[in-house]
Amino acid sequence: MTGKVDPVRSSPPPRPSGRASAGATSNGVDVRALAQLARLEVSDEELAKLEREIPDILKFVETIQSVSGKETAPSPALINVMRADENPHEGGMYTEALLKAAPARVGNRIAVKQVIKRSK
Amino acid sequence: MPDLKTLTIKEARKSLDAKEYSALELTDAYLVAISERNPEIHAYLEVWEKTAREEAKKADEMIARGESLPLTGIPIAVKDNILIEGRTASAGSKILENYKATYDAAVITKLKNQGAVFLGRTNMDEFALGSSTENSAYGPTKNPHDTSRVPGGTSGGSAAAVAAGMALAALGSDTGGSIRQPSAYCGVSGLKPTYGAVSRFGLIATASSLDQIGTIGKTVVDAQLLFDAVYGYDKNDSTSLPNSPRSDLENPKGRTLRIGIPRAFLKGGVDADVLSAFEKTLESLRTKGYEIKDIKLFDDPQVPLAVYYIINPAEVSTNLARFDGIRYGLSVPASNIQEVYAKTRGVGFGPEVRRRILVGTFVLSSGYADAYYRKALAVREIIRADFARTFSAGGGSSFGGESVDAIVTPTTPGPAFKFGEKSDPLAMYLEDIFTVPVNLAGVPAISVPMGTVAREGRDLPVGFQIIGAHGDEETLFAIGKDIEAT
Repeated sequence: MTGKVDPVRSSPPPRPSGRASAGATSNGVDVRALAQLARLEVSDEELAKLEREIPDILKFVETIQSVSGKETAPSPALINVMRADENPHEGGMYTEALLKAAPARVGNRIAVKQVIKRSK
Repeated sequence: MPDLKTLTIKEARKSLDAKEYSALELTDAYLVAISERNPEIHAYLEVWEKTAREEAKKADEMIARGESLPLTGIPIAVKDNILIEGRTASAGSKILENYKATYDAAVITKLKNQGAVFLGRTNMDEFALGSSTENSAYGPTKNPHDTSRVPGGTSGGSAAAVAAGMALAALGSDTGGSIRQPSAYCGVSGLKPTYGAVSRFGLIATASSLDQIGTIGKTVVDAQLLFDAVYGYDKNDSTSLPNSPRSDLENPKGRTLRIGIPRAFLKGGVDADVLSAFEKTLESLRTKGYEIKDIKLFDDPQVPLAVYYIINPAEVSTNLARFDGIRYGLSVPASNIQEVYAKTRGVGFGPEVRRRILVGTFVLSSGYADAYYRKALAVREIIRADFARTFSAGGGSSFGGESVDAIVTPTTPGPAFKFGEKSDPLAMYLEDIFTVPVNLAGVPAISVPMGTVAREGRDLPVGFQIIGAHGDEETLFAIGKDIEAT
């Protein structure tokens, strides 16, 4: 990525053509941009199909816009669902089992392609 | 050996404890049945012959010691998204084809403690997305009643295995109808418990605010027996509910039970013969002394479905972000890490999973989240409140101030459809119209067989859905047993 900005980050967010407000209609969804955001490789052939299907799905789900009335955003009661901070298991007990699941490892580490590169 | 096509857990328990046959003999009989029928039905993705026989031998030792529990030696099938340590769990996906679970799901630990026998893992729509098992990366399961038709989904393998006498009972999961709809199509009983009633620790997540592990059996009692074994609070699941007292009473409320029919919700789209099977079942309940009344539930039956198809993809796109070729599962080599992610996910996920991830990404994206995702959450609250009001003892104004103990509908608008018949994604989504509101509200529901309807000279089973209040599975079982008895 010499001198280039990460294409994912530089992509504009998907915008239906013409309308940019929250009440936008679903025409002209930029599926390619969505696929980039979702880190999903999609073939041109599939892209063409999705460009027909996704607006149909969005059009259907827009049914909810017709619902009015008392809408309250859910406000869940606050209860602690974290485990008690006590009796930790011995370190390294699950290391081997978890590393075994990784596609690539070097010693006791999961191996990945370089994540950050210095720009020239 | 008894006839496996009609054998129930209850009967098997009696015979095992009376030593009429051993758990090993019973397991062997199931393994033979699987070898005969599975090549055609494709309910199982993998059969665990060796470990099943070992588990059966251990069960026989428990029985010999007089330590038999309700499910000791009972051969069951497990959906491919529930983890058993050391065994493959692929969620019907290529991205997890070679994934071996590193721990037991909470439900598996409970069943192991009871000495249950695990026959194998059953086919499902990839990541529990679909309504037919056609979305499995390993090919569809066929309906045992007509192999040209789907078994339903996503727990199609589990329902077909039970219906075809290839397992005494099965575990499934239900995100929008995935236990009830295949149970209806295969002519068995399937329970989606209250959200939080059964631990999901070790269930591969699809849509976390909707997912629930549940049970499938030939009879209501069998589905209940398996539920009793896996039910309960689990500290490893942050959504797990505290245990509430359970009762075994025939009529848990000790008075005439009131059943509500959401008439407007049933309008349009239901096949005429399915509706008449539904009315016949209602009539039999009325004869048994139930009070049946019409109720008003939602103004527009399409709305819950629309809410579901926003919340489900949103949560799917978030949950499945973990599959990136780094920590587990498939990894496609590429020149940089962005490409590793994109190629792994592009190759590893099937078409419906990709579609949902993209829709989910859209409804959550900046500028649209308010109009889609947050609006859907708000409407979901209205739906949830509608159910709560309908069941609350105080009663709601929407139906004359009187509450009901259960709401009933057909489980599906029609019987099992043919392979390829619903190739349009929206047509497939409409399959779930009667089942998704239940998941949105988090209430329990069961599908029990309500006879058959004829299609092209075949008798195809259809299901009767009973929906109860939060935590009130007992009422579902009571009504279900009364339907079974007619």
